[in-house]
Amino acid sequence: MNASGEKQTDVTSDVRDLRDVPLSLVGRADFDGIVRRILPGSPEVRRVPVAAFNSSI
Amino acid sequence: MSRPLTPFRQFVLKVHSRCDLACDHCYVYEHADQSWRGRPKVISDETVSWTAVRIAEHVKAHALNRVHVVMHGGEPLLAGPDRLDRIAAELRGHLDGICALDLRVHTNGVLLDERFCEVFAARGVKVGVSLDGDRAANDRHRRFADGRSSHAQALRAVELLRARPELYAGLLCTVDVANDPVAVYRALAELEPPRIDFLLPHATWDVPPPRPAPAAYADWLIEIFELWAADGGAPPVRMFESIISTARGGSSLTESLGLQPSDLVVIETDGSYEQADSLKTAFDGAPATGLHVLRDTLDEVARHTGVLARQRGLAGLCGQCRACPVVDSCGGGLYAHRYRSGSGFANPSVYCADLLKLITHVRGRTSEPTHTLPSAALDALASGFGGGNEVTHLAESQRSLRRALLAAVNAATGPAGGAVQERAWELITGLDGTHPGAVEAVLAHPYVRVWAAGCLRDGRHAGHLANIAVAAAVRAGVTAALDVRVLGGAVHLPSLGVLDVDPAAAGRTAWPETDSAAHPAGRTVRLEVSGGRIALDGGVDLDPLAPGEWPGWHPVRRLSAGGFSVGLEDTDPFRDCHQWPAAGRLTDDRVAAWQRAFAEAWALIESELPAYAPGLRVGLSVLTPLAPAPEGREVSSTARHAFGAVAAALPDGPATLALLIVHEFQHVKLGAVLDILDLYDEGDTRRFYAPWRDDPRPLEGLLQGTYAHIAVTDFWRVRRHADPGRAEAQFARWRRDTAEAIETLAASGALTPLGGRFVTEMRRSVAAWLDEPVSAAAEAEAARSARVHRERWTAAVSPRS
Ligand code: SF4
Ligand code: SF4
Repeated sequence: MNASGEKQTDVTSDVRDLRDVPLSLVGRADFDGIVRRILPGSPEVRRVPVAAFNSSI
Repeated sequence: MSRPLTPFRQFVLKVHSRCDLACDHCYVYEHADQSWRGRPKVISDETVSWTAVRIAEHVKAHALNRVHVVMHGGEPLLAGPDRLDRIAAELRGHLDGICALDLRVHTNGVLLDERFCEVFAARGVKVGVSLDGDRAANDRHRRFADGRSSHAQALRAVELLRARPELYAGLLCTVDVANDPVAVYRALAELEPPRIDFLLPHATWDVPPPRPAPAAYADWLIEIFELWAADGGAPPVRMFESIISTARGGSSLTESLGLQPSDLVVIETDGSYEQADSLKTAFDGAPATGLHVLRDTLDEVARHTGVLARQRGLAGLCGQCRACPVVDSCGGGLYAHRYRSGSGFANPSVYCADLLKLITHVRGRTSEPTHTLPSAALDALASGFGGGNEVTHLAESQRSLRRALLAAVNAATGPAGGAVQERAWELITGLDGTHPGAVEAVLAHPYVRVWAAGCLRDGRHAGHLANIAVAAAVRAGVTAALDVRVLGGAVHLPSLGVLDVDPAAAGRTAWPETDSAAHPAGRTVRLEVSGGRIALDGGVDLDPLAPGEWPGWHPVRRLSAGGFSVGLEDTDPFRDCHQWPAAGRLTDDRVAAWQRAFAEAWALIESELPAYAPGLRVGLSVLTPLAPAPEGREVSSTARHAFGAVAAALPDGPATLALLIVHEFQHVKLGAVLDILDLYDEGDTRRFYAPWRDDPRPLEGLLQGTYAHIAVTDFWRVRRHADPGRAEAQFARWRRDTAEAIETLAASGALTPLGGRFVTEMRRSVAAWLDEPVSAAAEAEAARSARVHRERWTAAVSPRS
């Protein structure tokens, strides 16, 4: 239980879990997303939608 | 402190209240609310002008950088091209220049022709079309009053838009489970829409939807999801993307799913403000607010109880939804679908069984193993604390980040690194299989990530990979030999220490760059490792973990207190990444002084700030001495890539060191949260007022500062018994400043739903402290200094004439 007595669920990150992936097998598909995510100054700033348009009115 | 209201960002402007079709599933005419009967057919120019004025004043009041307006009906094209042109011009006239205006029209397509398209092209209006799928599906409901099909007209409209892709917004399909989902999806996808929206037919618990099987809507949508996934997720389907986004902590893309506060308002043809159209399904008059565009501002609408009710996120849901494992993605479904006479909206969606099944299916099919954080752990961290368990979660995700970075460095620099780099990679990947603990102990050293990040940015120091491999080999106790990198006359073995190979250069702190055109690989020496010892050609042979064996070996020394120990890092060449310069190698006397201060500071943390101690035990691995601070100042720092490291110049007293440690460790924790979760929009470039800074701060800076100041406030709060006068003044000041900054964050409009939740928990901690009594003098001084700072700041940042 958390402070407000709410549900116990998980918040999911898009960071891949590589703890058990052998280092020799960590490939581009695994690291590309992480590198883009944590290295600022990547060519395109990641935008996360905070006020997306909803058409289902 | 009153909560700032959620500004509207989406405006549905009813430009015509009648329709040329007579769809039997239409919520405007066929459902409980019959208010259309009393409304003018067409919106008047005056109402349009007032609407534009109201939106513009709202944009200015809330510094909105983008709003969405959709011209809607009934059927908006019945208003005619000339009127739509005037409406679009009026809206653009008031809004272009003060924000980005995403202007759309949503039509059944029957009347769409070249003339309309010209107007929409000239005014930058995108067009969405309602289409329920293939002809058989579309004919089921979307007919003229005399029963004729509207399919051919709708298709013709879509073809016009396909010829003008800049106008084509997408297709909206209302689900009917009697239709063949494959035929529906194929028919829609064939038209290459930029986006498809599937809409569940509006229904309530009083008037439930037709339901041939227990989760018929889920089954129907899952069939489409499988086709869509097999097609690589194109064209975009908002419902599926929204589920995937929210499952990863992102935003919902539609009001019908997720926990985001509603930011949508409807303006009817007569100028009255209404809540979401879907409420027409619930009961007659349900969407009404009693407010009018001529008389009332949008802020007044935003304070309407019905609007507020749809902005309460998790707290606004019934118990069943709050306890539901998919609530982050579902959010109880569309508000209107929860309605039941008697209990009102305090129910799960009438589509609950479908939403649960669909969301569970989509999550299961799209998940590659990624890191997760229990909601309770996130809330605990967000409150400013977080114990051993919570920090362990963060530390575990850092392991993945480091492994990714290391592999990325090898991929980026391996080919140029030749045989040396290849052997280093072989050694480290081999040890990763046989001695994973040894590899992890080295990779976990905070400055390994700093090195990797720098190397990926500029390609320099790639040869350090060999030093990392050798350090792991030492810890593993294996036999290996490798050419390791020499920097500044020394060989650095991360987490272990530094070996002078050129004593003349010993003791330098600003290591010269050795990458040069003449020596692209930099200087290297061959190091042999065996049984935990290292040997260098020329007779050096030592145990790096047994200090004092050889004068040229400078191990990382350790500070310990109360069964807790951290490295005192004054050897690593990549530690000089802090805001202040790193100190050089410390003398034994200075180390002794650090040890005394650390022991006292740690005792103080454990006794007076016990909530912080377990997290520090797990997450703080290194203290990095900084060069002495200028007279009368304390300097301390963290670096985003150096998880686990806190850097500081040794302050005057142990209490100050305790304060610096808990303050800086807040940055470590929050940095690690931000490494894995999106709390705010990184593309938002605005700057904000921070009560402790003279310069306007970007959102991340404000968030970091505010989070750190929760601990600062708490520190002074508990210190009031030991240092009453000073601590009370500090407490009064920091709780006020921190609370103010929390409200700035909450009102920024730049937080993701998760970010909003995070800031809510921050607020919860500080709000409790605001109620603690302090002397009137301390309170007055805090208010005065806050006012003076704000005035000075405002004068400094406002443009000079
Ligand atoms: S086209 Fe739209 S507004 Fe017109 S009757 Fe059909 S659903 Fe209702
Ligand atoms: S699936 Fe049902 S219980 Fe879960 S959040 Fe949605 S409506 Fe509520």
